[in-house]
Amino acid sequence: MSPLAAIANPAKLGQVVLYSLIAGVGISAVAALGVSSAAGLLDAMRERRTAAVLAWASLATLCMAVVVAAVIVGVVAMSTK
Amino acid sequence: MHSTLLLVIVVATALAFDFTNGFHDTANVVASSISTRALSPRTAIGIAAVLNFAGAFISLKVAATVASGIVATAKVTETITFAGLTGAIVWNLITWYFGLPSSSSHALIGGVIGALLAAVGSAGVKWAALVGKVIIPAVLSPVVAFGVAGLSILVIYRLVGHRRPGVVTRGFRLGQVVSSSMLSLAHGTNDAQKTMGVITLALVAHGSIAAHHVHVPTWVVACAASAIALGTYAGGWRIIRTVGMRIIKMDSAQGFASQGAGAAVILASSHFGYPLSSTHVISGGVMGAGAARRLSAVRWGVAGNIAAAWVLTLPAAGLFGAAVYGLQRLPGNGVQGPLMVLGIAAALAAGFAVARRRAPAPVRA
Repeated sequence: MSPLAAIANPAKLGQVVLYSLIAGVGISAVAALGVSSAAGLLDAMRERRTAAVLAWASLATLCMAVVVAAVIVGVVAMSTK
Repeated sequence: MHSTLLLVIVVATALAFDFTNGFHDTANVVASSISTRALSPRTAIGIAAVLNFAGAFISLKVAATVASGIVATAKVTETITFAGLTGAIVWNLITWYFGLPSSSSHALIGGVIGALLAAVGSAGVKWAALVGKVIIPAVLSPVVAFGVAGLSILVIYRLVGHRRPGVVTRGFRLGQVVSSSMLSLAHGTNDAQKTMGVITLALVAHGSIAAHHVHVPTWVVACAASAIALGTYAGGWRIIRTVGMRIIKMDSAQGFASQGAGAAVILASSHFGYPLSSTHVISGGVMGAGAARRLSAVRWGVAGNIAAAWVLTLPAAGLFGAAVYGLQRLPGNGVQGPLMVLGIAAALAAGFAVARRRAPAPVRA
């Protein structure tokens, strides 16, 4: 192992990068899907398509639940160190 | 008696630094929300202040790193801590004046190391820990935030690109309230701890805490939380303008992506005990969210100035810390030195206030 690698602890830094990527990109994707679902829901409601309304509403609710869960996990992760 | 007075001066200076950290770094937390109009300035700053306060109570891992991980605690005296803090405050005020979002954390670490080098030489610094826990994360964190924000905004545009812009904008503005709040909480968790770490160092130097059993007292946590929250509420409008409007002109999706990336990187690094700079992370996130859409969307001149300030922060704050240490040694080893420095600082602040009052009012169009 090189001296720099010994100092920097690349495994730990790698975990920071991985966690950041999963949390940052993952939550952004879920939030974007939620926003897209909400927009789809509004369109479906305007066009009175009941099945589509139910589908979009379910997806939007699921996305919102995932985002809320991620926020809770983030706060818990901070507080249990 | 003198030793206790010195400790009081050091603790007060540490809290003053925490206050400057709050108003200096508020910009990073709230700038995106303000510039995309997700939140009004007052509301954004109010929420940030409350959550910075709350965040300071959540964890003490970074405080422990600052207190015992980077410098040899046994060699740190109260005068060294005071000089380091003063050096950091000076650099924070200079960068705030020029509207540059530099790192308060690195200013603090640089100031303490500079004063320590002037006092006891290089033996007082744990160089390997400095490189591994501060310098490498400092280089890596804005790059990671840049990448995370860039990837996030590409994913976001792919998922919402075909939707009506009005609904999408409102959705991401709502999302920004959440991401901005998480960022404030993460900032309080990460940054308030640095001041807690320094006050703990001073308490160790004073003998109030045993060097072999370093812990952060509850009153230190409460004071640091209050100081950073008050500083946040005071707001740093010069830097808010730079981060929120001068790096890129962002839409609400970009604001959400940059804040989400910032919160993710800060939380991840805080979880592993790295005292990284929230400023670097958030600025990197803002640049990433802009560059992923179009490289020319980022004002690279402004980004270059910010990067130069980042590179300069550790050595510049270190130089100021060393200079203050040298200055306070002139009247002797006791409390007179810090009192003299405080007198000079008060005179300079009064002079600055008078100069500002005498300056002609800006001409309004």
